Amino acid sequence: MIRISNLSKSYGTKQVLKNVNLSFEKGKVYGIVGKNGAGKTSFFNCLADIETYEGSIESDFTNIKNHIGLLETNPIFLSRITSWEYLKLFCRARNIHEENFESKNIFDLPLNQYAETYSTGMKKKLALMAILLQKNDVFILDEPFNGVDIQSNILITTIIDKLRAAQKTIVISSHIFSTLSNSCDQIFLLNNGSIEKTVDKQDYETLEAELKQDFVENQLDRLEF
Amino acid sequence: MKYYLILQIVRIKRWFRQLGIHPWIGAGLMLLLFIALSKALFFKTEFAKWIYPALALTILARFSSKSHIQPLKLLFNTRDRKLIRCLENGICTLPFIFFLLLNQQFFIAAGLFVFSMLMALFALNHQTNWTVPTPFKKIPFEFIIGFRKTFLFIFFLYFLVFKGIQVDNYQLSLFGLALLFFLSMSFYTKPESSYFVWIFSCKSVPFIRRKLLDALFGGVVLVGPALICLFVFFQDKYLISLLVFAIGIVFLLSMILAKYSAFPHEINLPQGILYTLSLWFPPMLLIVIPLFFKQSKPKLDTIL
Repeated sequence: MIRISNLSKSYGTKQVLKNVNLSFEKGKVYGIVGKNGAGKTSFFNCLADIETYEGSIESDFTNIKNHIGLLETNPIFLSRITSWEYLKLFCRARNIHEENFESKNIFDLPLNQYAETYSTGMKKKLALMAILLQKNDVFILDEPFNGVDIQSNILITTIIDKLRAAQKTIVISSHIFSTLSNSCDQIFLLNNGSIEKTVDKQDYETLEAELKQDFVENQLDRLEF
Repeated sequence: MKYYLILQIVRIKRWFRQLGIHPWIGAGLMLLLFIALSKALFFKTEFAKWIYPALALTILARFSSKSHIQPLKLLFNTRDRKLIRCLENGICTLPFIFFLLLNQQFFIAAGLFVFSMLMALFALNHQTNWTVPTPFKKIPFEFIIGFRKTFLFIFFLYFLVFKGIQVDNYQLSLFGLALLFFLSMSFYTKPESSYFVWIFSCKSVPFIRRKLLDALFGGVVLVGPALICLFVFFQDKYLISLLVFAIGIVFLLSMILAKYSAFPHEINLPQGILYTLSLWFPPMLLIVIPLFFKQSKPKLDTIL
């Protein structure tokens, strides 16, 4: 269980998160939706303890950061490091003595190739594989479906289901609403740094319609075609 | 094109300011450092005339990298792009050429100039599927990356060690060994992204310990064969060789502490000065190492 109370975050005078109150349970998948700049990535960084923040994040773990696998929107890769070495770095970081990466290569990635030479989708898959190998308890997946091919999309959705079955906590953000509605038990709408809505499965269709109305149609009226 | 060049000057100025130093003072200090190192190099070894252009070309190689050329290709037509690259290469090699001329190495200076202009016409670092193998048991990541970036230079330094053995010049071999350590230290000059520290599930002290042990392993693997050669071929000087090796290891380890003492930023000027002073006067490491360790701990604790 992770309990977030009055979480606020500012960069200088700009407040990007305002009194966010949420709780995440084991064995559940949560979705975060919001426009670009709504505060999703800042929220994830605070949750992962990468950024300082006001408020509190309590959990069953002594140091939550050591149990979190964070998949960034654009994963960072060190130059001239092969994917195999990248995976080893992540395992070593958590004292996991794993070297048989070929047998666990679910995405069929060329592991002896430099990771930086991968395509966007392959990079995402490699970064996901790295945090999966770490055997984390909490997974924060920032846009996990971005740039990934359709087969891998299905595979990632299945992985999320498996993680849920294994009693892990998963928090996902995505711009593709259908991917969230398929996987999530609850979706939060983040707007201007605040949680504007909490939506359960039965109301996903309504939320999708509202988002479409708000994000697309109302915006497009401003532009003449 | 003019605006691009102005932007490069702005970037250099910002880099100096990030280091906590006024750009003009920084440029002056760099010039002084360049003159001092060049003088020392020409004073120390007769092979300086070859080492010197090799150094210049190593720097030029960065300007020929794909990451540097790709944006230029997007921004400029072929004529302007080549002009910019000739300018960049020319400015970069100018101090080297000047020093070579000063030392009456006219042919090498001319060769360096011609080669730098030729380099401006080509891009290096084409994306390849070839992965450079390393001897570091795939332990990520500083030595692996450093080795892959500089393996040609490493071969050159080993060539110096063997050349010294061949011509019975102990100083040259020892110089090659010392340069191998300097090169290893350069693997730790740039801080990695905080994310690659954040992923570790340990506190600062075990983290530093692990980094030091990895560096120790890397240093021994990279420089160890050179030391063994010196032991075998200059048996009477084994104590000096061992001492230089030990000092090299200590400098390498202190470089790691220096890096994390400023983390996630680059080493700032006062830290850089302290470290450079300890290179000239190694006993200073007795003060510098505990100081850097003390500074590293809180920096890493905030991330770990």
